[in-house]
Amino acid sequence: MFSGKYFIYISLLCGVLMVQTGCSVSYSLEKSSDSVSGSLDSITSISTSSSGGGEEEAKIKETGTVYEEDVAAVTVLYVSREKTTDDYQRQVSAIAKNHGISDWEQEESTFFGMGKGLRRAGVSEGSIVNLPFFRSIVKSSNYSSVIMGYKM
Amino acid sequence: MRRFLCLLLLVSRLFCPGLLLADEMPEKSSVASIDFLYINANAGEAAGGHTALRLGDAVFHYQFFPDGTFLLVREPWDSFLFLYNELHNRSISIASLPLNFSAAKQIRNHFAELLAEQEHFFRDLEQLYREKRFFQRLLADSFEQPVEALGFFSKQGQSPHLVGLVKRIETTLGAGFLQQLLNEAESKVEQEIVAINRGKRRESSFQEILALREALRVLSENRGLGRLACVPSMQEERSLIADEKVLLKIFSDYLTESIGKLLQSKRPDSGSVILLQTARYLAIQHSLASGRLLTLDPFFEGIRDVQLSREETGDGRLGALQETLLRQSATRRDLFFEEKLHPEIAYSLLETSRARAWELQQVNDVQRSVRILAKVTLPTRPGVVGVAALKPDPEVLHTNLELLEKALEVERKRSKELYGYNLFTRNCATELIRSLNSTFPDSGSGKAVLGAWMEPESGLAFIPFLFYEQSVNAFSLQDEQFIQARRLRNLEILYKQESDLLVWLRESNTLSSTLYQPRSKDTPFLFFTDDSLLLRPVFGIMNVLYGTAYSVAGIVNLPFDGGEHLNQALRGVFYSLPELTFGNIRKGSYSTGENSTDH
Repeated sequence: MFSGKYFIYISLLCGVLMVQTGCSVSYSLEKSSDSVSGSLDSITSISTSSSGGGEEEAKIKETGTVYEEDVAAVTVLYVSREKTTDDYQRQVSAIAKNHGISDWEQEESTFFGMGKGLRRAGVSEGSIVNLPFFRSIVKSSNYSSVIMGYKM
Repeated sequence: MRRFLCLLLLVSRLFCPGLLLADEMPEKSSVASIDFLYINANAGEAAGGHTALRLGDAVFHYQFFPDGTFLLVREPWDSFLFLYNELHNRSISIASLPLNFSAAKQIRNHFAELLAEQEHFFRDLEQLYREKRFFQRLLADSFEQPVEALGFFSKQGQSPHLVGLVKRIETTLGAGFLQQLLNEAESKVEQEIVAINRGKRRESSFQEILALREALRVLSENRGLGRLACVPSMQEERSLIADEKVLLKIFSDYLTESIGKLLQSKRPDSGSVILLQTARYLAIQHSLASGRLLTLDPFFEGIRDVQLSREETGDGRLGALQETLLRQSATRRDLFFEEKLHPEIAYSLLETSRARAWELQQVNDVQRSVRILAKVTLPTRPGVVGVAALKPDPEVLHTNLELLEKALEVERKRSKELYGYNLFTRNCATELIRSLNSTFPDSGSGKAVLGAWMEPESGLAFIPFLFYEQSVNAFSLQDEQFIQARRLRNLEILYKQESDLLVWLRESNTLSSTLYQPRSKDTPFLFFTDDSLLLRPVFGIMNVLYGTAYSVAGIVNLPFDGGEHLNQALRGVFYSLPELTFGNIRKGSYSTGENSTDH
């Protein structure tokens, strides 16, 4: 039905079609618009983890673990970029907010995460108190959690 | 020329998709490995396929966002699997690179750091925008400043519940503590106003101290919740039982302690958190008083909403989704009452899921707009505070705005450089390997850990499926697994249960298929071609003709639907073209309302 010329033409057309769309478009609904075309699909997407066999029981623990991981990552940046104490705390607040935590000072995993981050950033245990934020909490029980996280 | 050859190779790869078959679902992932994922193509989102890395129980991948940014995303594996494999009906190939525990951990930590860096960048950018809006408001002579979480409180009404809370705070921190703190905050607000009036750029610290002052005023004035602060109790929700009331009181004590500590905290943004925790405290007191669970309304201004069609509100999928969200809300309620380690996370999840369920319950023939809470969302409803003393010189404001615009321009450029998309040089495959490589200081140390080294620019690695194949070869990946797309999986079951011919005749097309319901997202098509290699061009022709006929109807409908049908039809024809050359992109997709365990 098609000559070789047409095959090449169609193949190229298809190629263009494919590469035009490239990689996966986000299904995130946080931004103003998204690629999910059907309205009901948009709502479906947000209930994904609960209706898709994701274990709700594990969700809280997972959130706590990932939060700790993120706090550690932010702490590495704090040390390596020499951010101010206020900026560091604002960054921790932003991370905490993403995970449904408003009062991160009440959440022990915050300080475990900080300890882990300090170790990864190469801060020696003795010099943790030289960092302004940690100097400010050195007398609180949270500092013990930082050290525990550091040693984990 | 190289790119041209790449395109040809890309098309030729369509002739024989699914070379990497293995009939098993993945086992629970081991932490000591990194798994390379290839997700095959489908219409709409990713006709070129997609790649991702699974590290432990999380999947890291790059996605294109509608605002033009191309960002690293982390998702739980089960959510990723459900979305891509179940709903979007795409097959997933997985190959593992076994690593020692510390190497796997190092890689995962590095990806978390990349996410933190990304978050930091966009937070700083947002701060510039916020500052710009602040100065624009002042320039427009509007002295009303929004304060996060203040909008939950009534302006006059007093709450007897707050009296007890304030008493407890003052017992712990001393009588007059709140008043002293309020005086200090008032004085700091004035200092900030003076600084801003003199031309200083202090938006951030001003907003923070203003929020603290407002929080202290709320506590001092015993202000109660506003009338619409909470998501109301739903008929389907049971009343609080005795044990739950006890546990709510315990959480109320947790919040009291939290508020007390926040009042002594040095964190700069404590004000809005005190407001939130106080509002939550009051929501709990109202719950205890009424015997029905109430939580704050987390919907915020500017939240995305969707308009359901009459068709969507009429079919069974809406009901199924309403039930799903109510069930999720009930489960999260139970889990909150059981949670010991992370009470606030559990409470936030409960708040969000109650709001989602309630929102969908409101849908009817008239009310078809639904606000979308995309993820766990802390309630932040802002209230407005008038600060008439803020009167900087307009000239100073203009100068600040100019400075801000310049700073924004620089950051927007950086955003494009750091987080922009490029089909060949910055896509889901190239960024994944670039991110993996950046875990290591150099290629030598990377090779020592990974066993090989791949460059994002090497060969055809920018094409997702070739990236996957190159990774399999380069890293000697093991344990290749293949998770079939949902329809193909169910089709196999049918073939085992019924006559092959009957199943083939019935399920090969969208009109009689029992495994698939046509959806506009998939574009109009007649025959499935993902499971019929030899007949693919014939089916392709039928699909093209079907799409063309649909286009004619689309032209007729043009004045009535603004070209929606025509657009769908043309896209349908386009997705059918690869089928003429034995290729396949479109596979059909699903929504939650469709039961996946029917077969």
